This record gives sequence, C-alpha cells and structure tokens, in this order.
Amino acid sequence: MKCAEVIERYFDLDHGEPLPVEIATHIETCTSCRELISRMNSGMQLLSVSNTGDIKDTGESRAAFTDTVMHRIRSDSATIANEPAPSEALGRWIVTGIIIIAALPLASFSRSVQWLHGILGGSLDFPMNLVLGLLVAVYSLLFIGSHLKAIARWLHLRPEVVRRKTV
Amino acid sequence: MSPIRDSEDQDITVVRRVLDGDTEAFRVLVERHQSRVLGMGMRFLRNRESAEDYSQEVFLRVYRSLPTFRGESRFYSWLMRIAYHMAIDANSSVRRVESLGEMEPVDAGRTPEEQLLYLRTREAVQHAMKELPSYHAVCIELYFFFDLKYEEISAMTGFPVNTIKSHVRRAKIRLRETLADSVTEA
Repeated sequence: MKCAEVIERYFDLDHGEPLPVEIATHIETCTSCRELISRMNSGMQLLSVSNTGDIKDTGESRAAFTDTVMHRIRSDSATIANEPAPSEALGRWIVTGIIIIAALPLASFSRSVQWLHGILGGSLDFPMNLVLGLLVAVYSLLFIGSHLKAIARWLHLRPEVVRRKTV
Repeated sequence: MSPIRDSEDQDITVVRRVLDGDTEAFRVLVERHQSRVLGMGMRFLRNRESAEDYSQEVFLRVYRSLPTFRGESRFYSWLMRIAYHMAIDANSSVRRVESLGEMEPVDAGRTPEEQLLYLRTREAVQHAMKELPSYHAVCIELYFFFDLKYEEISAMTGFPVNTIKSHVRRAKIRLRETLADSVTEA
C-alpha cells in the first residue's frame, strides 16, 4: 500500500475508529506516515475543547459553576417534589369539571336565576346559555392547555421529529 | 478498554444512579462535560456571562430530560444535541456566531512543542472553516473542537454524513499540508 493511499484512508476514519490492519501494518514500517499520523492525532487532541484553555477555565471557576448548577437542580427537584403528583392534579381537574357540569342544569333552579327568569322571561335563556357555554369552553381550554403531553400520549401521538434547518 | 469507551460507561453508570434518585451524582456529569457545553455557549453567545447562563440552563434541561435518555447513543452525544439546539434557540442566526477557532488562543500549560502543534492545527482547521459558509463550518467545528462523530454531527445538524465527511476531510488535508510544512521547517 502506498503512503498517499494510506493517508487518504486515514482521513476517512472517524473519532475512536480503530486503524484498519493494512494502515496499521504500513505505519509500522513507514516512518514518515507514522510521524504524520501521530502529529495529526496529537494536534487534534490538543484542539479539543476539553483540552484547550480557550474558554479560560480555572479549577475554581469550574467548581463554582458545578455548585451553581447543583444548587439549581436541588431547588428544581424540591419544587417538583412539592408539586402535586400528575395523577393527583388530574384528579382535581376532573372533580372540578364534574362539579361544573353537574351545576349547569342545577343553575336554572337557583333562586337568583328564577327571580331573573320572573322578570325577563324567555329572553334570559339565550344569555344564560351563552355564559354557561363560555364557562365550559374556558375550562376545557385550560384543561387541554395544561395537559397537552398527557393527551398526546393518550391519543398515541408522537411529536414529529423536526429537523432544524440552520440554512 | 479504550479511554473513550471507559468514559462512556462511567457516564451511563452515573446516569443510572441519578435516575435511581441519587441527585448528587449528577455533579460528576456536570464536572466532566462543562467545558464542552461552555465552549458551545461561547461559540454561539460570544461572551462568558451569557455562555455560563446558557450552560446552566443546558444542564438543568439535561437533568429534567434524563428519564427520556434511552442509552441508544453516547450520553455525551445526547447532551451535546440538547446543547446545540438550545444554542441555536438562544441565538437563532448561526451566521453571526464566532467560531472557537477565531477566539484568542490561550496558553493552557502546554510545552512549547505542544503549543506550536496546537497553533498549527488550529490555524489549519480555522482555514478550512473559512472556506465554507458558517452553517457548514459548524460541522468541522463540532468534529475537531467537540470530538463528535460523523453520525452524531449529522443527527445534530441534519447534514448528510457524506457531506460532513467531505468537509472534515478537507480540513484534514489542510492539516496535513500545514503539518508537513512544519516538519520541513523543523
């Protein structure tokens, strides 16, 4: 195998990919290829963000950064722990919904509605139904909006994989 | 066992511990990967303060999303995918970002030989990046500065693997030329 061919094949290798036997055999015997590949590997290792000082890291700033992140994570975990469990929260929504729906037919029997009905007669029906309809619609929208993920899971919907276009 | 493989296994072990309720174990992942995430932030946001805020948000997002990590890819690759998309969201125009290769080089306690090799490598990669539009140059940067593999870069950027390989190959050719010159000079 010629040196040019070896280098060409070396160029196609990915990070962590082992050297093919024929390349490994060639560089065992070819000093110039061995030296070039060794220098390229060393240069690429030095360039890696984890090995460079380009982001001006010090041990102190690294530790401070880690502490800040961990503090935020602990606060976050505490917040999550204090929130009602999803099933508990869902239960509250359902109970409230049932109370609202049960109250709709009962509303027309309340004293104040009957008093209004006595004054306005049949012309009360339309605005009354409109208000109750709006109440149910708002509640439903709030429920759907706050449970989008659960509804998607229930309907077996999978979020579409969106390829971000950087162009 | 190779150091890369070893490090991947350690990441997976830590992830399992965190998922089992050991929140403090997440510290290991932050310590291990913060340089790269911060590097991504510096590239896209251009100043240290914004990059640090961004990096905190990335780790917080990663922590919250940990239950969705299935271990099908390297943890590092998964983390950087989140970091990359958050960086794009933070700065929607990739064209305006500063490359890590354009930043002021810093002496990180290297020997004079290492420093020379570092500068030569950096110059070659930087040159190859300048020959491409910035939205393609990001492939070279993710490969050389962030140690990501072709497939991983493809998953992050949406570019086909062969396109990425071709860009990286061009940078490697440039690197060979630069290093061959330096060998001759020496």
